Amino acid sequence: MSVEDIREDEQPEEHSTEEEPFVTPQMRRIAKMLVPVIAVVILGGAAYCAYKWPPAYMAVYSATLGPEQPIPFSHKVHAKNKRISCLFCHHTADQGPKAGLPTVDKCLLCHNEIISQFPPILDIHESYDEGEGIPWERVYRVADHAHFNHQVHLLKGFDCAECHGNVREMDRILLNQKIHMGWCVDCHRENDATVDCLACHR
Amino acid sequence: MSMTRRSWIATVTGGAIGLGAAYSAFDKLIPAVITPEHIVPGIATWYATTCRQCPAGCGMLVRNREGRALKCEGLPGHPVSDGKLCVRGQASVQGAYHPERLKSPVVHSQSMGWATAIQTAGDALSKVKRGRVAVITDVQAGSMVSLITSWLDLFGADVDRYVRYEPVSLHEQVEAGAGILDRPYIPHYDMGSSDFVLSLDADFLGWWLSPVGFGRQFGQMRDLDRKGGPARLEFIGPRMSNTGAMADRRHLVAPDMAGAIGLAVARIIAGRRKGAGSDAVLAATKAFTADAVSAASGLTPSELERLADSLAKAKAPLVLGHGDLEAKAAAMLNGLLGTRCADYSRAHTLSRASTPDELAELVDDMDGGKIDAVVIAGTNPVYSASPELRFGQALSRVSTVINLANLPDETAAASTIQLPAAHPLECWGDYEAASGWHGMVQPTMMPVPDWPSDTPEAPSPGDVLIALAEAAGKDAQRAFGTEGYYGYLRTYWQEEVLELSGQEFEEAWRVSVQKGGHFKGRSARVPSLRGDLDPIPFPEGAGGTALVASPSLLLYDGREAAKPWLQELPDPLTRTVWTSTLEMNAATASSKGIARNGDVARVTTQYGQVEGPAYVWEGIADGVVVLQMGQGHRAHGDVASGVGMNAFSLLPPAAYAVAATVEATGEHTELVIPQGSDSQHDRGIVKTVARSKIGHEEEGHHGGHGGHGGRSLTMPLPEGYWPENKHDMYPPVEPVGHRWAMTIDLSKCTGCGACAVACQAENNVANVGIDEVERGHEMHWLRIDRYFEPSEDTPVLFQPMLCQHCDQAPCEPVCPVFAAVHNEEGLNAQVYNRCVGTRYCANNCPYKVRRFNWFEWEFKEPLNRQLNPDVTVRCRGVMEKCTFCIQRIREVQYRARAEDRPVRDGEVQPACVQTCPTGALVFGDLLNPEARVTEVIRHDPRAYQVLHHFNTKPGVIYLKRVIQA
Repeated sequence: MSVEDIREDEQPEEHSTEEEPFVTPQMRRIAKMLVPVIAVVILGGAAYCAYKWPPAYMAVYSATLGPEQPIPFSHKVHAKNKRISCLFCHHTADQGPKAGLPTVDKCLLCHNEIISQFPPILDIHESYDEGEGIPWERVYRVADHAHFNHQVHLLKGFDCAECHGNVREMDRILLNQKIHMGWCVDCHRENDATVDCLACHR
Repeated sequence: MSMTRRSWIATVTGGAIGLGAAYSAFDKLIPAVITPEHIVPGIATWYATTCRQCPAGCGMLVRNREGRALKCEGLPGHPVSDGKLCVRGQASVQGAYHPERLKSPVVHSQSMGWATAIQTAGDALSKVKRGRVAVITDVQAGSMVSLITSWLDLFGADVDRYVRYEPVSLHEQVEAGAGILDRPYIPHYDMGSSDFVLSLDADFLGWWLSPVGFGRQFGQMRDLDRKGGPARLEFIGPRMSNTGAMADRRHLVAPDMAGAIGLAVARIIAGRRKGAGSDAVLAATKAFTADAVSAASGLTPSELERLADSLAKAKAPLVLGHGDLEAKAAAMLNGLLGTRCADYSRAHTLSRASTPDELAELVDDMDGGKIDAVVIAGTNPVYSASPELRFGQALSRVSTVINLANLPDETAAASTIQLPAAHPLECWGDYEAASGWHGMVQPTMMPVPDWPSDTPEAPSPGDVLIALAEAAGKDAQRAFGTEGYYGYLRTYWQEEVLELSGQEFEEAWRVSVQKGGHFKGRSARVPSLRGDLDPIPFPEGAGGTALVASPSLLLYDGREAAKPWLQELPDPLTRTVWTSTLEMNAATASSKGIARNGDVARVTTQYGQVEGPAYVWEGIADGVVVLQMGQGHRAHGDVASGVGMNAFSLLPPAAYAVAATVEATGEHTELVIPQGSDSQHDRGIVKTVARSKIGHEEEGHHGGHGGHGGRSLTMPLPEGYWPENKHDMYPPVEPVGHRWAMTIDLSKCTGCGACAVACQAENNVANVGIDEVERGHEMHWLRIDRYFEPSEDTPVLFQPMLCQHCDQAPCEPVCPVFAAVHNEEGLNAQVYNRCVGTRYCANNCPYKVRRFNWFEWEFKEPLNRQLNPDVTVRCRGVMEKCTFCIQRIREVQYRARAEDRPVRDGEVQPACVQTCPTGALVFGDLLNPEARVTEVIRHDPRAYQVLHHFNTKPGVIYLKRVIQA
């Protein structure tokens, strides 16, 4: 057998000269079809998440509105239009560390008479009748290892708005200020207040 | 931009924090439906009630936050406790929130709802023939006695079918009172005004009768500024208890010998006086001549003479005796001396406990098949009755056994129907601590939600009994009214206690609930001897070894054994935890072949046998082995079962000592003792001073700058620093507003441990269990160190040791992250959120008071509901320590600010100071010249700082223990 013969022998068959590509055109077609599907899944997932946990989404990214609440309560209507004092509802703010949320019966104190048949007010009635509190979305939270006291700050003459922003202009309450230690300490320094660690951390 | 290590950490942690913040920011806020009255969220509400952990009946204030009972404190103004509380009272919240509490009734080992269970029990009771019912409870006084008597009447049973069973009934006190003074009850003792107290084995600073009341009085009698100076205390008994340790002089003698000595002393005094009383005493104590007693007890006749002299000379002497002969001797001496410190116008409620004979009779009837149903509440006789009684066997002959216990225990296990009634912190009730002192018990907490499962509120024992009578078809409405136990209680108070009607009663009732009871004044009645006294026979010397069983300061008679706080608190004298030991002295130990602590011994008496580790120390008389009561439970939940030995299993009924044989088994177990050494190694950590030398002694080394009068004390203030930082590494810190400081009077500290448990309750200090204690991981912020000294006057020294809040704190400069920093009010702050757990601070602390969280400790549901919301719960990897209860300081400061006034002296009380029965601990502001601490620290010649030569300038100042030779 000559060398040529050997070469000839080694020549691949005609059909195998073109190596089969790893990604076949068929797969490419399927992939092209999949792109919108994946996109839909991702966007849909995101949309679903936003739907499922709207407060998380809203509170962090919304510029104008706070998280959606179980009752479409408007601070603006109550605090600005009706000129109700903050302390009427958050009545323990000047008595102790916690400002306190109004209990359900306090809502009904007025709303037994005022727009008593408005659907959200009916929801409040239902909550009262069933003896179940309204699960408001929390907007402000101080970390567990820091102990804040509303009373002391109010007694020093601070207005609610200094921390909570212009609530009178907010429909749904919005996180005016991210609660972090630097912010607390800055204000304490500006006002010549204590910056003792044990003032808050116990 | 390339990513450096730093920016990577910043990004990752920032992201994590962001995620965490986003996560935590969206909790729900769910307000109540109806505004609760008088509740300000974040502000505690206090309810006055009566402690029901032992028969003493101390007044208690319970702090309630948003419905949860968090902590018990003493009730100011209460005639027994006056604002103070002991370890057991402090731990009562652990009973209410015990994880092993029964959640629903159990009938024949089957859980069921309350309605069905009550009906089943009622059906069983309705089938019982008239008069074949009995009730066994712990000692009760007030409405419950009347209710149970009427209840038994409904079933046609006599009053004597109601047994108020107390394992430690002190009935011998009642007998001695009857036989010698014609007053068959235990009086109210007041040693606060006494100038000489002789204790014949009565450990009144530990467990005897009313330890908080006695602790308070002890504080008064040891006050150096008192008119006539501090009183003397002498102790005679087989074991050097806390009382023996605090005495000025003590004699360790065999059981019964303390009583014999007391009687001999009475004989000597009577021999010197003329009068009918003296003649009677001489006739009764014929057998107790000085020579005979001296020969039997080992006390010299001259020592007996000296005791007689001291008692006869004292203006207000008082003798207390525990045990049969001792009680007689005490009654005789008190009668002979006409002491004004024993007030017989009031009977201590323990006098109302049933006698051991009454229990024995009931057991006989049960055994003889004369009883078909028995109701047991608040007591555990299967565990604590003497084996001779065979209580368990008799109980098994009773077809219906209804148990109201809410924790599993031995008696509950032997019961057919368990109806877990409410804890005393959850329900209404009353308790008369002594005649005329009617204490109120009121609900101090919301019931734990869904628990017990199907009742809105756990029913009180009274309600359960009323419901049972109703279910059994009896006319309960006629007997108990229509408003349940609460209505019955009100009627009882209206008719028996307040004796008022209409609006007047309503007002008086309201005041009683608010003040924790109704306390009637009485004119005191001093004891006088009977004309004829029966001759008292000389005690037979048992010979050989005697076993003495002593109730435990921590667990009393065992009813407290299921509380982890009390198991983990070291025993005041042996310092062992989670165990019980056979205590003996070295001579006894070596004669039995026991070489060291932890060698296992076997003790056999005629009634039973136990095996356990020996603890060898010199506080036990020759030939005596002491076993404390309270341990050795078989079925008392996970905490208590299988721990230690049961002393009751060795005892005859109603006795505290018994002949025993003791032998070494040859085995050895390692005792777990958190304290490293029993000796101070001459470091002068606890200092003593003879009373005559106060203010005149020379200190071994100079007092340092700012020291006063040569004391080892440097003010923890800028004035305590040397000029130009001569000896100080760091410049002084100027305190702002306050410089908090504490003084601890070692003359008054009895080592009871109330402070340590109060601290644990207040500050969310975790329990770690015996294995972790063995590895040195215990978490107590405040511990009591106990040192043995080779000294006649002070063989045992106690010292509460907590963070010293040094002005030049060694912990601070070594912290790499500034977690240990100086606070502007002089405290050493530990900032948990900064701490990264290097433990450098703990290594550098010479007082060893810093505790490291080696693990994430578990607060088992629902014990977590007891956690104080004002104090951060520390996680794994964080150092923690005493904060001087900063949350309580802040609370007072905020209140003062709201009322626009300065903080008053004594207004801030850390938990330990608040509870200390003797008032040994005082807290205040060193910048306030009027404060008590300022006065003491600046001028008291006894003031010193521990390890003063380290120049740490501690803010905790000790006052030397005074020796009155």
